[in-house]
Amino acid sequence: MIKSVIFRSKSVLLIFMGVLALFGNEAYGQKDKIGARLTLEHVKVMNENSSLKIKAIFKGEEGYEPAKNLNFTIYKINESEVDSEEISEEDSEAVLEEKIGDVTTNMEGKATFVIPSQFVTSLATYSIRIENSDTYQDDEEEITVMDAILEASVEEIDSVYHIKAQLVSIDNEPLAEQTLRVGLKRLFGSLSIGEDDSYETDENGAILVPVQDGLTGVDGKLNFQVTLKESDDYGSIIAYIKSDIGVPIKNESTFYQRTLWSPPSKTPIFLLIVPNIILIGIWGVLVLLVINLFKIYKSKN
Amino acid sequence: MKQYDKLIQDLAPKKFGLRGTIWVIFLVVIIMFSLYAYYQQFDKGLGITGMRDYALWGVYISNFVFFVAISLVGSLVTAVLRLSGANWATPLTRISEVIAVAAIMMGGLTIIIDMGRPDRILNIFLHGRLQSPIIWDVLVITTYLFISVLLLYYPLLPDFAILKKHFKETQPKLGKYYSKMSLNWTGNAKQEKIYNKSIHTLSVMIIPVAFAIHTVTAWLFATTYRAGWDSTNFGPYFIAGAFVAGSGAVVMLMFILRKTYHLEEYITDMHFDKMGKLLVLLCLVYLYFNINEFLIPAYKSTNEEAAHLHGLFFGEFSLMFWLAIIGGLVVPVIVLIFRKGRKPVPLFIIAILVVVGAWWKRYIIVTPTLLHPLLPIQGVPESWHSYFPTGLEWTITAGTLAASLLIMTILFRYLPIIPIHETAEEKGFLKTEKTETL
Repeated sequence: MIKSVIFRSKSVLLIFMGVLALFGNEAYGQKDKIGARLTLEHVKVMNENSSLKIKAIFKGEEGYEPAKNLNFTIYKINESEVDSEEISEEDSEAVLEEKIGDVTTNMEGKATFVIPSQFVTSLATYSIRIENSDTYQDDEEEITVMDAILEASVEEIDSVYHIKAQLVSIDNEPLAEQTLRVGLKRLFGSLSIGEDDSYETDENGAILVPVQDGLTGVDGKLNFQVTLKESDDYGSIIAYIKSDIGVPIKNESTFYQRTLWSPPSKTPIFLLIVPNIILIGIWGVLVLLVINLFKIYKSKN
Repeated sequence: MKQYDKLIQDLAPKKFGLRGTIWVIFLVVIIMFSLYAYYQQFDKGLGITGMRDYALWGVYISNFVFFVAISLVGSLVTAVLRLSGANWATPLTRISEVIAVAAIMMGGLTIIIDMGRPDRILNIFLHGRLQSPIIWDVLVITTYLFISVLLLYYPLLPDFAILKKHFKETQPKLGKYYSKMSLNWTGNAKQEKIYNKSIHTLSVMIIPVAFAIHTVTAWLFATTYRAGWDSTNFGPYFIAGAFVAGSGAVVMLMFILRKTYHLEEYITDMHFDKMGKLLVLLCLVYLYFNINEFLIPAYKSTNEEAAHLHGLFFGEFSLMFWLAIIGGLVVPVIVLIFRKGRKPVPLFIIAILVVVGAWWKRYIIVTPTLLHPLLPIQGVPESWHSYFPTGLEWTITAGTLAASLLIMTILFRYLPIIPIHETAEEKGFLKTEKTETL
């Protein structure tokens, strides 16, 4: 009797542990995954491409840290297809969401996905998703953008160069009251052009910004950029203007010259001559003094 | 002739007594410990020292500057004093030259000790840049060492000839050694002519080279834009300090050797008196340079200079600073202006203060500046903010000091401490034409 009770209680315990192992593990696993915070930006570079810029971070022990090597699946949501009555319910999800690619974050938790041109439309919704990650919880972020055109050029007005830019919709309608930034592309960022940090487009969707004198560039080449930054409707749009209106940078490198900081092969001439004359002079005398010792040795009588 | 024989008897090198043997063993033990410590450093690298990214020069470089400073006394006593007609310094010439040779040898070695990869020392000569003061220093130290050895050796030629005869009967082996070293010196006219010309040339040449060696050492610091080092005055400031340190060392050795070898007849109270007066003059000159070196930066008080000077005057280095200034300069001046202060015993005590003060002075020239860079020290471990030598560093440093003392001890064991031939000439024991001596 006692034996059967023990046996039964052992079996119950085993079953209980098995259930725990099956379901408890999963429950623990979900809880253990990290929740990432996602930032999504749509960037269109005029005459080049459109891309999605992704940034993922998570709250670590030392504050927010980049979510490295995190894979995202990119979908395009075809909202116009959703209302179609011709599509069956089973197929609607497949048509609604079209996978257009994958991208993985770098060591800074950042990734850029260049949208294939066939998926760029006048109105588009893109979704980025974390799916089946071992480390991070499943998550999703969406962005909807309308296409727009930003045209920019350099014009000389009254002997002063200006950056002229116009923002229009895809239907060529001027987009007024949009904030544009004008900058000069430099090695580590953008140098603001004009007196203000940003300029609002007028009723023609245009801005005119004077360029200050004395901007330097290699061979006088300057690469300006006009940017519509993170607009709710149009995302970010960048237009680059290549010009040669800058002051050519004079090469002041002393690499091939004889300087105090150059390697031994390029020692300044005076530093080769003066110390060597002193050294030869002193050591010449010292050699003579050693010879004198021999002379003393030989002059016994 | 009896007097001449007594002179040789008095001044000929003597075997170590019990105290001498214990002294040598003591030095050898310290050197053995330091060799073990250096093996640790060679094996594990400079990480075993207290030096880090900011305090990248520490006690080794301070010690190097001290050795270079001490070595300058060779040129002061043997060349400057002699060329200016101060013949009273004759009995001190050999002491100062031995100090110069021992100090400059250990100075050169200390630089190698400070290297993280001493096995790459050849690269200094293969890839050295003539634009760098470090190369100038290497060249000038080598030159100075060579001149100092010649300046020690040349005046020894007549003495070796005397010692050859002296030891011929009693210690033939030693006599043979002196015979070889005397280079067949007989004192004939031809030999004397070459000898006089050579010594005169050496004594003239050593002055600019000696000035160059310490000026270049000063430039190692002054060519760097740092608080405490950024001074056009650093060359003369270093030379003035070197003469003080070297003179202090000569006085110390004068006292010890006089007592040990009973040389009271040759190193008299007059010599102590004169050296005391010379030391007062040198201390005053160095004090002047110190005032100049600290007053002007204190008056301008840029942020970096103010932090640097505060550290010296009131901060972590204040004890060493005031020991060096008051103990090593002010007290000696006050004591030595009195005749009684220039008697052998008080002068010896003052000389100890001067030499110890001089050593710490080099330490506070090197280290505090490195801990006050123009850019703030940020983002590094707390231990990098300060510097104090580790036990192994102290052991290695003590080893270099012991080695220099051992070199002096061995040289004084086999060389006459006071030039025999010259003293005999000065006392009129020899009827020959006076030779050029140092």
